[in-house]
Amino acid sequence: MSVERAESHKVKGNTYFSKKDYDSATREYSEAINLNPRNVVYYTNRALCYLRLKKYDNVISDCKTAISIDANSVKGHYMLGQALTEKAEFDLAISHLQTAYDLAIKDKVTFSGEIIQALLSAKKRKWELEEQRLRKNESEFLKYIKGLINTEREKQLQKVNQSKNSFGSTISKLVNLHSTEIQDKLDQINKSYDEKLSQIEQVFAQSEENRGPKEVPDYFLDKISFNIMYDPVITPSGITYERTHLKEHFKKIGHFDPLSRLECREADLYPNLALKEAIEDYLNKNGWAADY
Amino acid sequence: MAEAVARRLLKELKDYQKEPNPDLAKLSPISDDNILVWNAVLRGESDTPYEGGHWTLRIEIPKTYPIHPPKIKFLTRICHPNISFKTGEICLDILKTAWSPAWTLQSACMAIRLLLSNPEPTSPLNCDAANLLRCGDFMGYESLVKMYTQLYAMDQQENEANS
Repeated sequence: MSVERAESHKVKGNTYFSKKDYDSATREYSEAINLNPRNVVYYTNRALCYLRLKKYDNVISDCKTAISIDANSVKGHYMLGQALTEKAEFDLAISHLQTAYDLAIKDKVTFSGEIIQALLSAKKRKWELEEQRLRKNESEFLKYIKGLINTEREKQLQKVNQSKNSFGSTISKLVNLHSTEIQDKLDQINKSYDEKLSQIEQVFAQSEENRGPKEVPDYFLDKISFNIMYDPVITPSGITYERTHLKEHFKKIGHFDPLSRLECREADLYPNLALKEAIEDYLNKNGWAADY
Repeated sequence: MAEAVARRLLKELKDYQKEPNPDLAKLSPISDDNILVWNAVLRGESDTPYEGGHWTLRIEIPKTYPIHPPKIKFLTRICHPNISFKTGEICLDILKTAWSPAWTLQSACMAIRLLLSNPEPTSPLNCDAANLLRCGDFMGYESLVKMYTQLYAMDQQENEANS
């Protein structure tokens, strides 16, 4: 009896959801959960509402409940990963999204492409955070070095000025003659330190440039979506694609390799592990490329 | 998935801008807020009756691209056995059954350009042009094509495309 009533609240919730009335939908799903707390769908549906409402703590708690009821809930892991990304818990987020992807492939879920996107964006945001920290450290370090150079410049300038003063007191008549010479010396010192400063700035700018966005090599990109690959698979023709997009091509167009046009089925695919490792390594060094 | 289309199209645009194709005078979305409609401008191949002509193509991209092919048609009038003189519709297998996601907008445009010099008179959309070829009147065919190239595809077309 309560199971049936719970279902009717869920149906109402879905109607509100499709009208984008997430607050009302949340209320209906909560009613459903009160009546039947063992149904995973009620939790994941409510979590999706919370996700839309950007209430990430609620998403996390509902997804955790969903996963505790059914450890293989793709949606539970997927949304938990998204919410954790928003909370900057990147490592945990990535691990849940990876689980979601693996389950999605096993269950032939249709949104595996979206899961990869969420996974890549979590990786990119993790990298950005680290990058920010690194950049801050570096700019502080640069400031420190520039300070050292300027202190040394002051010392050298002072030395020359002192010698000028001692000259001045003893042979005051020759001061005019010497002052140009001394000025030359001071200019020389200033010039050499300015050069040092600009050199050191260049070195730092170069290092920043090396880490910034460049062109991703084409061999890391899926031939269908032109996106960087996460789960590369190799066909009997030796051509590598992103699994999700190739499967979509099989389903909608036909069982052939898009480039070689030779017959190819899902069972013929092998994971391209070496390429996957190479891409992971590349992304560790070039995190910007994850969501390129 | 709409986001995935945009990603791929942006990459295609970048690739074209990085290495402009001399045979393709233009390839870009018609406006910044809709990446699913593009324009392209084909240059006619030299030593063919299409030499010197510029044809604007309209490319409509489905949300399911590149799994499904883009819809491409001629906006500039052209005389060719496999292209409708009235609507600009193109009869080319790779835009229909032989499409594969490995094609790009650029390679599809180049395939259309290749079709210009390799007509298939057996599946015509322009019967007058096809009939000339089928009876072996190559001279008549070429002068007909040349006339329409001069009439519709010279000079002013390029200016229009660049504006």
